[in-house]
Amino acid sequence: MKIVVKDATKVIKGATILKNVNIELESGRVYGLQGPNGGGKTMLMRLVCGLIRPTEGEVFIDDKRLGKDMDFPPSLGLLLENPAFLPGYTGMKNLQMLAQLQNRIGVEQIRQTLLEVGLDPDDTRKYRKFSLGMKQRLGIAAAIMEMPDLILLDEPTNALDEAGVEQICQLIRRERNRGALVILACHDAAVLERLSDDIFTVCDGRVERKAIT
Amino acid sequence: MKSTLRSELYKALTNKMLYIAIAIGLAFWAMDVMENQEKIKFFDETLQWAVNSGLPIGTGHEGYSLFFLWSGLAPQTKGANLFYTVWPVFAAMAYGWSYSDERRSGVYNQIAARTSAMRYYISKYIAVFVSGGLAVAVPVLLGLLANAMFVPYAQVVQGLGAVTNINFLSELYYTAPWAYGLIWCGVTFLCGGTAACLCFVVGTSLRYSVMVILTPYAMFVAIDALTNSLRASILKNVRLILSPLRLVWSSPGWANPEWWVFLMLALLTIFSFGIGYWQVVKHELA
Repeated sequence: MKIVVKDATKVIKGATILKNVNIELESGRVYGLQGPNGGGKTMLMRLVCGLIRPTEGEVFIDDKRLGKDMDFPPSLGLLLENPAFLPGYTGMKNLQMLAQLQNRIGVEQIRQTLLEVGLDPDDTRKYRKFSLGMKQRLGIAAAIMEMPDLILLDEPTNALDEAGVEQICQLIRRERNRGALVILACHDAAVLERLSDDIFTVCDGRVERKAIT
Repeated sequence: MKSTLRSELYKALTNKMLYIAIAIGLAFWAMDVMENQEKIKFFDETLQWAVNSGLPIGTGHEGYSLFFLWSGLAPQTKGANLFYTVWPVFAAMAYGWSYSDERRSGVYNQIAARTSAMRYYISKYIAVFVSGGLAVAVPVLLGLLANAMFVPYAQVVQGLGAVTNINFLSELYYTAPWAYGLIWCGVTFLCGGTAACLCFVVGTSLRYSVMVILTPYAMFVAIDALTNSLRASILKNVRLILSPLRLVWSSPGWANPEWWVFLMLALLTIFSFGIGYWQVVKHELA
């Protein structure tokens, strides 16, 4: 998979959120996004996955124009800001319902993913009873369970303990080695530098590649 | 599309609010049954007294029977009055709130990214319609069946019933009242579905689900008040029922021929679907 963001500018209610962004992203790599709060990291992620469209410029996924040739990238897993699930269902049921939409994976694969993120697939508690860390883990499970080609993770280590962060780091590396294109925004600079092959600084809507030392 | 629709219908039909809406509706219809029982008891006692007194009156229930007393024609008891005053709230509380709720919470992003925004919208629209229809039609149907257990059945004599030739399937009411009752329950289902789907009109502009739930009711009450006030002036010569709030009565006091009932429901559906569709096409998911 190759993603090309070309001269993309996003204006919302008169405010320029992204300014003339030009980046190219390829499969099998982890791209880190860093920058201050409100700098445009999440908006860049939304732009890349088709949740918002650029006011000017274009986004191409494998030479197909996002928003014209396709609504969303064909194989996408995402965790944007806070994980969002149906509060009245268990974690397992929530993932099953999402997985049924595409029918790419079965129950066994969902159970396996839940175990990998440190959750019990047989937990009968409803999502509304989950702790913040459990919600976060479920959000990550939803993003990776279908082995998507493009994975967007916005602050995936939020609310996780040290062991949890390490677990998620291993999963992100595994996904990269599998060939997925991972875009990661994380406030923890150490985690970001450890995981990323390339880092972009997003500040005031401008995106610049940062040299990795 | 099939899997998205299946998922939405599953969510709609397994959600607690649908059953709460039906339960409240049934409580109102239980009141209707009890009030009808009292009426029948009083009628029977009066009838017995008349017979004992040698008064020359008929002994049948033709003018005072199940379909004569059925509140589906127009509310005739306190219970039915309460139900028919707030029925759009039941329709919306079943599942009407879910679109706005899922869009605000971010669940929308997860689902739409796996199918498409349009598939999700259409599936959600159908699920909301079905749940809204069930929330209103199930209490009306069960209310009719429960009344049938206590109120004697007799074919209503023409001229005595509230249904006249300006009303929906009026002939059927006098010739095959059960078929008429069941068909009207079907129309009630369509009314409930149509009302529930008006929740799509507000999109994500309302912050609280309770406000979304009250939206169809507020719209219906506003139209009701507006048309009532205009009846005295520019709508003086219009004999048709214009208030969607009363469209759910089969004998609403104004003309409600079949074509008009379906036209009104179709117009309301086009209105809500069109605005929701426009939001999906023009607005972004973020």
